Amino acid sequence: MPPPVQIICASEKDRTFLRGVFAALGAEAVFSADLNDALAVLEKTRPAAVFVADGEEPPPEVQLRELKRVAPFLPVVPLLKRRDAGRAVELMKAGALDCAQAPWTEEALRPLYRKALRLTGTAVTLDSNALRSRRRSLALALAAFFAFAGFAGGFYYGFRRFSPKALQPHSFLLPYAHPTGIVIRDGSALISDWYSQAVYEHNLKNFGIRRVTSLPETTPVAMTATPDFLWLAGTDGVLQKRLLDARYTPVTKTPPLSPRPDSVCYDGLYYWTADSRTGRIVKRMPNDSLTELKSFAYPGGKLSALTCDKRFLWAADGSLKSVLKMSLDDPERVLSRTELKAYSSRTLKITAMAASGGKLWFAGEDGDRALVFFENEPK
Amino acid sequence: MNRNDLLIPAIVRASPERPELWGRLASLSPQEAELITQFALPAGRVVTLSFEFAGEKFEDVRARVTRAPRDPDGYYACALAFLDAGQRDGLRAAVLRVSPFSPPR
Repeated sequence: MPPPVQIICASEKDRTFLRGVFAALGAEAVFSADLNDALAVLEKTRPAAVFVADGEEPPPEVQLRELKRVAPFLPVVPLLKRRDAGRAVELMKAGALDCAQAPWTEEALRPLYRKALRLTGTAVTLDSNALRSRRRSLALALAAFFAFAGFAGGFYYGFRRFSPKALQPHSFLLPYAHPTGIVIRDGSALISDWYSQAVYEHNLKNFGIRRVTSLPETTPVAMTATPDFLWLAGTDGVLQKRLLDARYTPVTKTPPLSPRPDSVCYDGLYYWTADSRTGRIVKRMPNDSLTELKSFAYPGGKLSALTCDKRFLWAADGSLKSVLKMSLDDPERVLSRTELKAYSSRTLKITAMAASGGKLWFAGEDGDRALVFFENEPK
Repeated sequence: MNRNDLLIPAIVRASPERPELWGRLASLSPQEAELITQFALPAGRVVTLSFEFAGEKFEDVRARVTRAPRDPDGYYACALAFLDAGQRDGLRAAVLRVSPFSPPR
């Protein structure tokens, strides 16, 4: 239903005529006999436009002025009794929207009625023209987005699939950065860290920390264990024998060993120490001094870490990117060499090893983080 | 583009035999204008315009209706091309007077 229009017309005859015309236009017309009456109901009716009949008092010029004072933006259309262009222009200069010419037929009033309604209120529409013009650019943007998403997804998939994996599946990141020794026993992993001067006990299943033992008097650079004792090597080449209690109570210590070891292991009968700098592997007596029995040259490239079990010596080789298996009887004889996939990370530096339960455990630094991972023992 | 305070009302004379008509100029330049009117003006018809602009009265400015499409409300948006060179010069001077880029007097 369109908003109402107000008609100011004193003549009953003209009102009757105009009532029919505006009804034919589909307009809701509110009639006022004079200007005072119109101003009184203007606020209540809120018309979209006002049509003022000419030839009555006061003249349309006065009514126009008064109406504009109350409602400056209200369209006012004088209904001229005769076609007078000069008067029409003067009324338009005074603020009339336009002037209707006589006779006031439906055909004559229709354009003015529609134009008056169009000028009232802010038109709110969906700007379909703008949408159409933007449709193409929107379609292009969507196509570009999907193309990019497809490219990025394919690139990511290819990258994941074809790039070497830097981290092994069975690996755990460590909350500390400089592991130097690892021991696997009783469902736990003991790991020494030279920077924090501590031994961390981890749950072997999820590598959650069970206990941290601080060793302020020692900077551990290597570690191994027997069923009864823990052995820690310091930076001075001295190995300390400690109890496997809560505080790893020191028991004895060796004199400074030469070369200073950064790997140590126990094969069940003898102790083995190794120095990655010189590549020397030393077999030692199982006494408190770890007396040297024989020294061997590492047969591989660059020794990173050494461990052993009752059958073999195992070495992580940083230059060969492999694990070497060596004979306990002749450590200078390589029994097998197995590529270690973890070395696909160029920044990996293995610093400790342990052999337990058919698995080889590795601890090391990879960039600015430390990790532990294990592999099945190579055949 | 400069904007006038109101859409300039104009008297339109289309034929000596017919009464004068009226409308408003939606746009005005020295060469052409657009007239919004409720009266039908056929394309090709020569009309004269009388209006006030820039404090000056322009009387009987001759123009040809080049097209007169009807808008949805029923009004005609008549495109007019001014024919008289002298009248065009007068309009140009008036436009320059009200232009914000014209030099001060």
